[in-house]
Amino acid sequence: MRKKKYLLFSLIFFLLISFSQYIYDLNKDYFKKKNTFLALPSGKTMRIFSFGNSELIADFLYIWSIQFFSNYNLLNSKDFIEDIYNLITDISPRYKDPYLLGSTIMAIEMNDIKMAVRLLQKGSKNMDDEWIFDFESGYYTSKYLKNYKLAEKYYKKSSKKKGAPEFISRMLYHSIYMQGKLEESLMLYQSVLKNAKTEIERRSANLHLYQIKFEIDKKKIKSAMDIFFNRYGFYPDNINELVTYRIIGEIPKDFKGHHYKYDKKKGTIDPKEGYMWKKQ
Amino acid sequence: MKIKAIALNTFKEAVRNKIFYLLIFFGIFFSFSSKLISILTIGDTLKILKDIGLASINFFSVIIAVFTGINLVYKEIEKKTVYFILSKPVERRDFILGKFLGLALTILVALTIMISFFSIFILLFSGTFDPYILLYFIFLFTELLIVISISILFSSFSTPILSSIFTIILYLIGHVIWTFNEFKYKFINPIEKIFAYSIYYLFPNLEKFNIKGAIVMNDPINIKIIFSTLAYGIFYVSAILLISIHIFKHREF
Repeated sequence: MRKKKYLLFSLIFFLLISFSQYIYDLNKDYFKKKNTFLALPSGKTMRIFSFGNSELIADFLYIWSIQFFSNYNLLNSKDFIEDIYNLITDISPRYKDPYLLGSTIMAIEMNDIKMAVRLLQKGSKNMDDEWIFDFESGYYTSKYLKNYKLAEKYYKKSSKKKGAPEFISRMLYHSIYMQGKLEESLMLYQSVLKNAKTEIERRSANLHLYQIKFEIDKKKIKSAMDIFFNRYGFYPDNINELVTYRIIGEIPKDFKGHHYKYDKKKGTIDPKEGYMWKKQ
Repeated sequence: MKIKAIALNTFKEAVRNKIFYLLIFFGIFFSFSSKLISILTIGDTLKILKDIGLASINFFSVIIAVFTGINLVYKEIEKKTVYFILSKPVERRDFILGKFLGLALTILVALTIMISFFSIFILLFSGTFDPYILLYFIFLFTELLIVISISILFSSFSTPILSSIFTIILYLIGHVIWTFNEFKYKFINPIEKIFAYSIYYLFPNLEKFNIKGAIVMNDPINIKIIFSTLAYGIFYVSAILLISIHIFKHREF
């Protein structure tokens, strides 16, 4: 009986505990928008005081960072992003995921491409056998910064690493093409087409080659048209007049062997059929 | 033969303690609970499983080593059972060595159980057996031999509470002593230098036994590093045991 009395009282206390927690939860706004403050120690300090468990500390910090940056109620959480991911990667320099996730948040959510590339390059330095960091750096630099020269450097570095997929070479050639190096990229894409193993590779190479050839031909026709216009004061009615008047040896055809469309008012050519443009 | 008898008796005494099983259970439980934590991550979950699992095994085996080690010699003195043993033709040296080997066997059994469960867990998760876990087992066992030799040393002349504090402090120092290499160049004065280097070589460098990072990252481990580390462990245990025997021999009951 006495034992049951104690159990009954403890049950009452547990009910009171639950009730007080319920009242607390009703009055507490857990999702209130607010600013936060973080003071982080250095990676070296954390490594020393992890007493041989630095990888575990890095794991916990990484998991915490995922929850921290998923919380959109913290208004200034992004102010700490570089410090947090630098800390994790200082503690565990060869932990791949924090570099990739950190740079994704920096680039996609914060639109700070330079910060993202900085983190990725730290990863590339700490894991020089990994291709992904230079590839991602190249991708962000090319897509968002439109710095194709820098993207070429990163793609080149990435494509030389062990296990790098074939498509990185194609992205490298694309960055060369985007810099306006038409002759060089024409040559590179011809080699891609020659060595293509899959339909995607063939299609991608064909699209690039069509466009690159068109741009080369467009330039050639433009300079011929300028000569014709300077000589006669108007553009020819037919594009073949450029050959008749011996300004050009022959009229170039598109990559598929078709004639270009000629606009006699502007003296320009356009491709006959529509295709996916590689450069907008 | 006498050493063997004391060792087996020590082992039986240690495994009779229910806390021993509880600590093994917690070691396995926390290894398995890493699966729950890994749900929260993005990317490589195997790394999280290995990190938490290996850290749990490490933590609980150190607890077993420290708390079983400090009690064994002291309990014999406190309960005065040491008189019965030493009144027989048993040398004090044999008593210490027997206690050490019994404790080493206890740790070996505990570690084998925890590592076996963990290996099966990783095998089920990843589909492959990680042979590096065996190397980790050997390294951790050697590290624990150092820890139990230190705990026997302290328990041969001190109380269990003080022994446990000293052993834990030495264990923690052992895991941060590597930082000495980063500031050793700051010692210019020869006396300071000799003092600092003496401390560095005197304290156990337990961090060299920590290959958790290499296992998780699949980094290769140099064969010379493996053998020099194991040799270091054997030499260190021998030195500490000799000091323990010396102290125990000169102790008056």
